[in-house]
Amino acid sequence: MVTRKPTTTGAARHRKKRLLITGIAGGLATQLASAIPDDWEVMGIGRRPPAHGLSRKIIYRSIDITKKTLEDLFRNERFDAVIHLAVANDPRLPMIVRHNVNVIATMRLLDCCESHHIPQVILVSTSEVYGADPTNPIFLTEESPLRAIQRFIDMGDKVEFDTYCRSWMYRVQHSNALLLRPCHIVGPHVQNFFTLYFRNPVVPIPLGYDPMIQVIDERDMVQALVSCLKQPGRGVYNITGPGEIPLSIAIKEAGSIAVPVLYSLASPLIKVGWWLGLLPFPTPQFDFLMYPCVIDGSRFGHDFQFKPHYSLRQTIRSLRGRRRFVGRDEL
Amino acid sequence: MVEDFGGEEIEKKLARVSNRLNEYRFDPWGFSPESAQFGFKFFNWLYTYYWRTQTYNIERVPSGRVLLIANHSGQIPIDGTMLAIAMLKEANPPRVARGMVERWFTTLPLIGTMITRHGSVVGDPRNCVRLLQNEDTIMVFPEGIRGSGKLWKDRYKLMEFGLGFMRLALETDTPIVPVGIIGGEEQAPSFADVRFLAKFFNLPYFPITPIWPWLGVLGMIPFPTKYRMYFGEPMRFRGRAHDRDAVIESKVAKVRQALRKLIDRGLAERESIFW
Repeated sequence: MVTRKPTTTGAARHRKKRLLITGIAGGLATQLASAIPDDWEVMGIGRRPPAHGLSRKIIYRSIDITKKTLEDLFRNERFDAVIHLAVANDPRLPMIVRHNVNVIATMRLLDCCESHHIPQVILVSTSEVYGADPTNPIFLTEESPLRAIQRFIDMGDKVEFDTYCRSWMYRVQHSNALLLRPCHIVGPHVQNFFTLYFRNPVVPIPLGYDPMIQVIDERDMVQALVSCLKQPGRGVYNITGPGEIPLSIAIKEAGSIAVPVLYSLASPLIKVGWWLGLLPFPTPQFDFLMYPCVIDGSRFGHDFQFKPHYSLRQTIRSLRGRRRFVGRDEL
Repeated sequence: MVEDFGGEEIEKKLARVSNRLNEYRFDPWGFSPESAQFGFKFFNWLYTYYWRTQTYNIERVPSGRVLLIANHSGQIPIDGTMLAIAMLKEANPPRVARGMVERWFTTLPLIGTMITRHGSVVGDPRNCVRLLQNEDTIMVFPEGIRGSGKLWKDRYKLMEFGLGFMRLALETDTPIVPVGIIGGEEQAPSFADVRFLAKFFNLPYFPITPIWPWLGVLGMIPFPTKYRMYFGEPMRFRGRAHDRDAVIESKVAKVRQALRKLIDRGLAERESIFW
């Protein structure tokens, strides 16, 4: 019985599974592609090829997910899983671009996943959708309301992304869909508000405020995504890193100098700086430097046996020595 | 100078508190023993030499999670601070008693950060449940501002109690220790509460005391009355946390009664307000 030759069904079982990663040019996507186990074949799509070298073979297709070629791809290729990382993260992009990528393109991608019966879909939102607010309890669970747009209307695209993904998940029951809300992902390859902020040698902080912040190392985030791929599941999950740290300590550890500014005086200046393109983030983003948005990642840790490998110190220090002002990318 | 008056003791006690700290010595709520020691030392000095605080039966406070339910008085929350110092200095094991602060406190620059570094958190029930699950100690003044803002003629009268603390105790199976605090009422006797001024300054109340607002900022300094704290026997309650108000109220009434007895004892034993 043991020596019996593999049958045709056995051979079919041994074919490699296929994974589609969108937004492959992004720092996180590129690192993720390298970390995907060998029993998967990886196809990466995006407007541009991976930004830096990959340690494994992937198939790259130059496809803009906001274009019709996306539907063609799903008609002609078969995928066992999709990890959606094509997001327009840069706050300097106009809302029309961000909304087209983050919401409209995501809707079309999910339509494709639905009509082609993709068994596994992993969607990455952000903990920022909860909003930074003085009344936030420490440790927001997945059920907490998404209040980001109450104080910061410019977060509308991210909140709508999250809301649409959730409604899709509950409508399309045949797919194992996961919606992840990680805390601030930091590292030399990713770009978001916090990495932009920490890479400045001198950063403003609102005088008298020092909220607790949460960070996760990009390598830990990659591991979290890999564990999602290995263990199909359904639901919304917060993802946290090694712990909570006051903003001022994080800035110091990242090697920057914090300059306290009187917020009420500085906000008009920040507004002008933002309009002139001198500052990489708009005024309302300052909420995240004033009030806590601390999430509870214990559910993900429990369900996926996930524990961050990098300590708080290692995570924060990974931002050191990267002082370049990165241009618009991630698309 | 503060160092010379029991500062070392505070440092030793802070080193023994069981709060879970990360590698930077912060807990998730923002408490940090290193940042807190200055405030604790300062108030310890006041505890010892200004208000000459005396505790009775503090050994009744059990180790592990506990809700301290105390009467509120004195216009500014010195009673909470003194209770926190007592829990750090005289309770066994020493602990950082968590104060539940009004939400708007955290919007204030400097003050908001300062109070979180000393272990206070926003008074949200979800925060309380987490803290109690972590075996923390929480101070609750169920009268709230109704207690702290009351007039001289109502001194040591217990105002209406909120029910939230009882629901928390039931949900997390936490023992309740009533604490009768004597001395707070006389630190700032208020003869009137000027509603329109309170509204104008966006304050919960605007008291008129013998020195406030007549002496300006100096008028805010509370009198050096002698503080006494009477700790009651731990009380345990069983039942559903989301029961009808009437059921919870009957349980709250028992705590209120126990607190009343402690206050009455304190007032009967007291020979002078100042020593």
